[in-house]
Amino acid sequence: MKKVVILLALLLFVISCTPRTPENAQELSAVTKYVRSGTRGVEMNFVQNVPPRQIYDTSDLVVLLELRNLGNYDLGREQFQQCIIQLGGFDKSIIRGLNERQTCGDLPGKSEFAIDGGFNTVEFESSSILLPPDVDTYEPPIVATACYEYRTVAAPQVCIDPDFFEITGTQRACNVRDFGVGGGQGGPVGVTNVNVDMVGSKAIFQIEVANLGSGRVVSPRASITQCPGGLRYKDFDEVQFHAELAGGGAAKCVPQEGFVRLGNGKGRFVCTFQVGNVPAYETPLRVELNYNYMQSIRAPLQIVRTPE
Amino acid sequence: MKNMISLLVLILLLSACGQNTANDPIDVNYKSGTEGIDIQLVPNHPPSRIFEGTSFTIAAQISNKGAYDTFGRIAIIGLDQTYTPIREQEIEMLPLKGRSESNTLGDFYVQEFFGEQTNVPPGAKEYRAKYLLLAIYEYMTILNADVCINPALLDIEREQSSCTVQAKQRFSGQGAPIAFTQVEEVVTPAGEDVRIEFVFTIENRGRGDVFSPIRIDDVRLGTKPLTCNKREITEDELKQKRNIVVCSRTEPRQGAYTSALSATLQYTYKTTAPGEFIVQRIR
Repeated sequence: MKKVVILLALLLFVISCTPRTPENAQELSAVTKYVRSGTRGVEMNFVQNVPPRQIYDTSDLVVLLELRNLGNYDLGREQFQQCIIQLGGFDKSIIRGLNERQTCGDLPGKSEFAIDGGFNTVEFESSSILLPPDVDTYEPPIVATACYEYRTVAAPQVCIDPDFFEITGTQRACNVRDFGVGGGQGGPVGVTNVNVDMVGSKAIFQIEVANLGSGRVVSPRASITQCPGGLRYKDFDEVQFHAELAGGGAAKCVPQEGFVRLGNGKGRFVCTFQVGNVPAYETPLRVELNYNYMQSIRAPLQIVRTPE
Repeated sequence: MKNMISLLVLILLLSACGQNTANDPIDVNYKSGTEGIDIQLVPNHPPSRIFEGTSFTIAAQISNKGAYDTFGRIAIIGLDQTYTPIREQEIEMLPLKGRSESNTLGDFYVQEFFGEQTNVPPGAKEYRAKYLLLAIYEYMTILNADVCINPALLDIEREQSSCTVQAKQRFSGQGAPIAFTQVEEVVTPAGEDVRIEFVFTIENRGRGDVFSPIRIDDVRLGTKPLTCNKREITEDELKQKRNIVVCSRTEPRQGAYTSALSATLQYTYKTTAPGEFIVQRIR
């Protein structure tokens, strides 16, 4: 009896330890779901001790950043697509000759083939630190700011039911209902709620979007070249949207210009589709959000004058 | 017994792990406080009561308790040369280095004034000799402060911004009797650029008096010079609290950053120490 129990436990252990590959359709679907979810974009980390906490003014300053694209949008693939890392927080007359602005390089997003997203490193170096006379220590924070174009695509299934006069629920393919969309769609800005209203042959969608990440949304109308120091107040918290319904005709959306402004990180736009007089059906509502995103991390630094 | 040993080991471990930064020279800010030259009369030099006809010596320890090197003069005033004659009433002070990492107390020495034969006025039983030791010395004050500059005029979230602008910073002293006590930072748009102004408040926090106008030199943001509305503050202006200096600079709009603001004051300072002794008639 004891041997059987041990054998069973061993078997269970072996089964649980076997690496899982998405071989069947169900697992592939789970990977796809994972890839298309999440609220992160480009994540940055300072490599441990680069920069160190304290250096002498005669030393070189080296800053090494690890970048990872944890969203679902490829960066660095298209020619004009931009993702830059700007190093700041310090006085350029003291820490001199540092190439403070660099591109992120090739950073593909999460995909079924690379579920951890693309990875890259960026190095900044200054070999010229000049402490002002009589200043013995200088403690600037080293702030790395990533500014990048990003896109989130959400495709929630919605129910279209223009027929008011159909009485029994059993005759319907689906029921029109509002629903929340949780967990993000593989980008720091995502759709959080879709409210559906049927008015005759029109389907009206009230789509709520929100900044789900830890950074700041920058309008896609603002140029990345202005980010972060050249941005103005009007450049923040604006997202470009586009919604389409498979076979749903042209959408008429409000705000008409296709840009929604976020207040307290949340925004809402309304799109109306002419769906005609057809029986109830379910279809994906494709919502595309384009935006620029800015986020920062910081590392403390103390520069000490070398004793003479 | 075993428990006691374990407890002792634990205490030893904990005390070993404690960070002891007191002896770390980098962590001690010597440019703090409001002291400069300090005069301490050496006890019994002279004794509180001496007899007429004897000579005397007045001794004082002169210490530089500030953070800057100095030189100047020491004088003894108030003694009547008829009854308590002094050979040299004014002497050059030895150059004294201020407190630093390599000289944690600052330089000091004992200055002696040699008196000759004392007398008592006719008809008097004793003579009370009151005097004042006076040090007049050149001194300086250097302000070093990290300041946050936000030329973009954007107040983005704390976690996104590299630093937060402090409208006012207050200071207790920079290791000298004249101190920068407050710096106010004002950033205003100037076309495509921004104008950054620093309003310095300068006060006498020492126990003496300023003996010359205070010169304001080397006002810099990082390594870049600032332009100031005045170059000196007179003794009267300081007393009447007209002790504000505004220095400014125009910068292009860019992201927020931390810089080192520095400014230097140069002046002559005066400090005194009173003393007395009695010359007694011999019956």
